[in-house]
Amino acid sequence: MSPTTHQTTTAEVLSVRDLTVEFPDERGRVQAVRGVSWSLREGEVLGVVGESGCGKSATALAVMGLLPPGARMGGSVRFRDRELAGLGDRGMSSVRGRSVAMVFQDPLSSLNPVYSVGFQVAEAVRAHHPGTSRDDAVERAVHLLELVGIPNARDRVGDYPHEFSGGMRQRVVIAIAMANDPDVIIADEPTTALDVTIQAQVLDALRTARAETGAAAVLITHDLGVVAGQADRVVVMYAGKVVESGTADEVFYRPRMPYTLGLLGSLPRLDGRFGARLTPIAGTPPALDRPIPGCAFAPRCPLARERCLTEEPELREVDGHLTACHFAEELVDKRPEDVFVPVVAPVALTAERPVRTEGPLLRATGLVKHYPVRGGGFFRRQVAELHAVCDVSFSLSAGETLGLVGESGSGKSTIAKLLMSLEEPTAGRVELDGAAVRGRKHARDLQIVFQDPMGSLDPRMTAADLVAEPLRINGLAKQDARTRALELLASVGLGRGRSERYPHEFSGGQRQRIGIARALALRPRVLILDEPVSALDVSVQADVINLLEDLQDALGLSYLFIAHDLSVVRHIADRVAVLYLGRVVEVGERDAVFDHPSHPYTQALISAVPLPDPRKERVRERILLSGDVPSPVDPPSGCRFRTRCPRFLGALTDAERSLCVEEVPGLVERGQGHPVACHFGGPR
Amino acid sequence: MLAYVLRRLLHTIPIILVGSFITFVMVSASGDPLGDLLAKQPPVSPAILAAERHRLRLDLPLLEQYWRWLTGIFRGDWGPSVTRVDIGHEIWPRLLVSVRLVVLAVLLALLLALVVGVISAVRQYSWVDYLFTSAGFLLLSMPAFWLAILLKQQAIDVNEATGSTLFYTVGDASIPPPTGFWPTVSDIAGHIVLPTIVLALTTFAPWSRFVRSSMVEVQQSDYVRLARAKGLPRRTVLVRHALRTALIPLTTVVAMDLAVLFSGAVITETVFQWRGMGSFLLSAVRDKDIYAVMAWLLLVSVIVVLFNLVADLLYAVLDRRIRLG
Repeated sequence: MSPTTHQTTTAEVLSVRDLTVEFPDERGRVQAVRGVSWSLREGEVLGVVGESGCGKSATALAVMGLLPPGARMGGSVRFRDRELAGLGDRGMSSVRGRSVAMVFQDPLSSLNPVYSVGFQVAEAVRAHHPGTSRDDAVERAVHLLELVGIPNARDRVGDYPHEFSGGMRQRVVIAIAMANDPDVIIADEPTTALDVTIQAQVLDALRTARAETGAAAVLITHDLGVVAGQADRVVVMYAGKVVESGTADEVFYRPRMPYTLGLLGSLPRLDGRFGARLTPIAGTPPALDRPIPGCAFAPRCPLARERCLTEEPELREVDGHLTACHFAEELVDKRPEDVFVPVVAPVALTAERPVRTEGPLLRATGLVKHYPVRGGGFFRRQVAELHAVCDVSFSLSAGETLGLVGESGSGKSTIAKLLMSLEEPTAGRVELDGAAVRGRKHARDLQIVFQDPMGSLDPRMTAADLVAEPLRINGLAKQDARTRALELLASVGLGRGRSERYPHEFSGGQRQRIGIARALALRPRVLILDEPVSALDVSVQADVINLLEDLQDALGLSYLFIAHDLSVVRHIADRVAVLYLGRVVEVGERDAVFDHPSHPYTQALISAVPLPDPRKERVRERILLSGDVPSPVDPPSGCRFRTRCPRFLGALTDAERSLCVEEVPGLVERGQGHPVACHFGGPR
Repeated sequence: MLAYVLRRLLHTIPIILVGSFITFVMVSASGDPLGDLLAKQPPVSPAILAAERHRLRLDLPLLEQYWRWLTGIFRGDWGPSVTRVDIGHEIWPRLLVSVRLVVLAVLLALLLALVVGVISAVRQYSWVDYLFTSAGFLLLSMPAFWLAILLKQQAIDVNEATGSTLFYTVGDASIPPPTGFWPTVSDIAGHIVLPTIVLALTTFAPWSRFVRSSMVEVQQSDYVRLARAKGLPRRTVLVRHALRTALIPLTTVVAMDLAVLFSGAVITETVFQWRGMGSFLLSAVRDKDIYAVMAWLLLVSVIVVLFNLVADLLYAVLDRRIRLG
């Protein structure tokens, strides 16, 4: 996608004017979209960004006429010269897929499980070309699947969705979107559910789709990095409204709306500014069940004044692009930290245990975990083994944060379970302070915070009870446990007033705070953080990251930070271990690994992470890995990465390749300054 | 597939063996088949009693009784009956009569459940939905015997009012049966109407609720949304994408309910005085006729097991994610 400067002379393909969407709610009606206008020109990519609940998806569904029953829509949607609003379902059927096509977020559920992928692509072709014969439609499906990069498309048209990986399924959905040469493709969070290297592949497929059909695109995402690299123009949404709109460069480099600036400031960066404190936006987006008199962002905005609470700001032009802020001029040359002062969390707890020890605090040696794969017969015989974790060793010192990075299937979460003794390792040992960790003996010292804050909190217990529970289990009297629980809740920023509420009454970030308070209850020395912020919105995520940093400083905690988001890991970790298919491929000091990655996988992983910086994104060279992660049931011999390794598939000689096939590369220092498990590791 | 079917059938053998043994023991313990004979006035001579006891194998240990019953089955010997009829000779025609009723009722119930369930789901929270919902719950809570008696009475009233036999309310066929093929068919069809309605109505109600909820769920699914985003007409999406997937779990429910249907048929058959499996079981229980009860249980359990297998196979055909093995 080549971002170019656009003149207003280019024709509009799709435009939305004063769009409103209302959903019925148990308390009345929710105004999900409150008057949105934007237009899309021929061949351009419009990025729509905003956090969950800002109305991005509702706008897209309204354009497609796919709002759920009960939803009310107002305003106008024009495709070229045709008004789409009020067209009715039959009329919209002829528009959908042919004029405007859509790609949805979750590729695992977007395809019907009972039809082959070929049928589902062919069906899209025949929907608008009823005269096409079944065979011709399948032929076209094969062609489309080849275009989006499905290997052996001809042999695979008859396969069913469950036989494809998530990334491959999203390609199928993109092929469906391309089927009728649409003029507009709307992609709603097309890569959000995918791993970062797969995301790069899917974005590439989307680019192919645009090149092939010449379609303009609306790219809806919460990921500013994805937008920076793909979009010509950007629309920022907040609470059902457009709050800023302009070219990608203007919005990213000269934001004139405090919300946009705040979003950029709360984003951990893979490039520059790491180590610096994130500047989260205080509070949470407003509920939209009643009219908001002034600016919807005012309650969270450090610049807000009287006028902001009473008078709603209109979109107006400031410095060459549109913004909805009364005081936009004040943002000239301001950095996020100039406007958003990071609130220091009120950590009242002190380290009540000796924290400094000689040598590593937590040590894992040669961890192996195999799961039996059983047949369906009468005796459920074991037919194979799933190699989840294979010979993983690492250590963690007191007060240190070790980042464990990897994509799905890399064994991250299995390692967390092994450390917590929630699973028995097949081989290897875990030691805390030199003593083997087994069963519940070390439960006090090792605690865990899970990814899904809602799923890990009992919905029928109050916040105070949730935090007090581990204390009660360990024999603390009821009143003492309660006192301590309130103290812990206060230290994670949940004051007394909220301790008697139930999990559903809290926001996602607050729930994660309860999870952290609970993990801290027993005064552990090591916290295992298993994707603690990946379910959270960016502004909230920054808040939780800051809290974790403060707690570490105050209590001298050690963190094992498990994440797939490299930017977050770069921000928080002291050392980093990169996992691929159950093995550590590279480990070292944070900056050494990120600035001088020596394993081809680490290099590909880092290059795949989109940066929230349009200029850098445009010139970046991405290493696109081929294919999917192999099955851990039958991992490749020798180096597990070789089936996707650009070096193995490229520059290596046959003799060198046979080494990769035959010999497992050990995780040793090979002159790169830190251990790398590659026979031919080195700079790109 | 064939290997799977064979393995599944193999699995059912121990289940039926254990099940039949337990029921055999329980039925034997539930009363003395000679009770009526013993209570007779004037008393029956001990010689006759002993002979009868020997004929009914009551002089043998329980295990041996069971063993002889079990091995007898394979020779076509269903065991001695208290009433001195040949159980094998008696039960097959009755099975045919009952299966006729159950199959027809299931087909009718399925059709009704689909129509009502789909309309309710598509027009969710409309008056049609509320109407079907109320009717469904009314039928759900209505005992089969009550509905059957009510319907029968109505039919008799109609017959009396019109002075001709519009509805047959007694028996599964006329006695003596009419001669010729078409008269026989129409006679059987005439007799089957009322019991089928009773059985279908009581069966379809829960199924329609099931179809409704699974259709509502599927309609909100991402793949139905994608199908609409392709530009497919609403009706195509509804039938091809929504209904097709919503039907899959119904196969299990229907197969499971077949067992219930057989017991439901007992009541319906009794009300309409059919000579089916229902009255067979009732008189067998009344007479404490161990081997007749066992014959009924064996047949019904084999049917249940078979239909469960059929449901699992259908499931795998309908949903390719399910792998048999």
